[in-house]
Amino acid sequence: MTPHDDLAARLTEEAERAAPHTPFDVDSLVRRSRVRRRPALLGAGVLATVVIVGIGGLGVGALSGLVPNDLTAADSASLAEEPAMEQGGAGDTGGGTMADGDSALAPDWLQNRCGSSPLTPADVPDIGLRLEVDFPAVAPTGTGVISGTVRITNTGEEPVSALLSATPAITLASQGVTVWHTSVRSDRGPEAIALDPGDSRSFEAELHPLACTTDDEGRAVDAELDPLRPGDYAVSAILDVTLDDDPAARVPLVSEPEPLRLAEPTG
Amino acid sequence: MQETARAGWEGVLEALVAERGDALVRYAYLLCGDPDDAADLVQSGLVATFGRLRNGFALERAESYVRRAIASAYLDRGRRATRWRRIAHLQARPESVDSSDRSVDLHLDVRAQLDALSPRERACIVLRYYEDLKVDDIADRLGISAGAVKRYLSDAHVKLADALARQEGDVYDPAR
Repeated sequence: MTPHDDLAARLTEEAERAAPHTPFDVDSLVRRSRVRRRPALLGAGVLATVVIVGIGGLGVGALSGLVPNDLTAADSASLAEEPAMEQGGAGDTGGGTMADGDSALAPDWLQNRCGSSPLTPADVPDIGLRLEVDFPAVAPTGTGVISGTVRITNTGEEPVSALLSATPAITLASQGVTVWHTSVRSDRGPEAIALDPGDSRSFEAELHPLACTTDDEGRAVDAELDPLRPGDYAVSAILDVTLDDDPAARVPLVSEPEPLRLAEPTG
Repeated sequence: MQETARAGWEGVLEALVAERGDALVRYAYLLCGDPDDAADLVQSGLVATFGRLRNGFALERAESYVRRAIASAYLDRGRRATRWRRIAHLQARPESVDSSDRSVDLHLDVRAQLDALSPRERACIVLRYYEDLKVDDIADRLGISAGAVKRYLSDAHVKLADALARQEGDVYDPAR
């Protein structure tokens, strides 16, 4: 046996001995890949104009043909992806950050579109910031607004300076499927924050217990939607963050889903 | 390729995970030396690849891209390992293994020898001997020059030679 064969055999033995069978969550991998594909889609010129705007239930606006459905998104993205893929996966860190450029990133409020599986913290890179939602555990059904807060916390050991693209977008889900999400424009622009380790910053947020449809692009949402039925739901938040020390990398920050029970109004 | 209910790139991703997932983890494990980190590297590599890969790619070519992304992610993490090194001493490591099993000894030897290499040296060794790639192919995979690959392999051989010679009671000569 030559030294080459010997070393190759030892490496093979080591890999087979120590590397365990790993059951990957394909659904999660697909969702995370879709997140990365969306910037390429938008950058491909599918959209004439994309305005990264703030959300928080502050203003009302129509969404005009912003993003096609997932299948179309993937197919369209493929037209623009080949050069980047061929040039050099070696330069792609694979670290999960979205370094495709700010102008190409889909806004946070379109990450969890109606009918999709909402992103979870496991689907996005850990950048040392945690997002949490605080809404009432029980709220009435109907067309009223449910108010809460979203808190961003520096969980790392170093101070963090970042630019938030908007106030957080809220997602309401039932059995793992988005049934409503923030979809109106805010008049607030990007906001800079600086958080020392352990520090938090809270934002007011609102959700509407309404049932959106999978055709949630290009319509003036909420005004046309029916109230959700009573039942158990999950509320989460999503926010785009650009760290000052890595301005090319814009990442979505996602909260854990928290339970929300919608009940028939009393009285 | 395995039949899946998914279409396009999603179907390729699903088939790749089903058919080659374990092989990718083994490859990533040799690079990073930790099973959990290996799984994380594979997931990062899959997302990085399928976040950009167009439809129509065969599974084999997609796997090649994923392996490239895994290596890049591993090296990139090495470059950003300063913070890790600050807390590395807090990680629990077995100080000794009470076993007369030679395979366990060999396992620890190989792991220790790989751990003694720099990230780029280690990547070059894994790609050369485990992946059986030529120098030019390694250079392409890692995005560095062929000359740099030769240098990393040479440096790695020097480090490995002593350990292997001690283990075998012989002089290790990679050129032999």
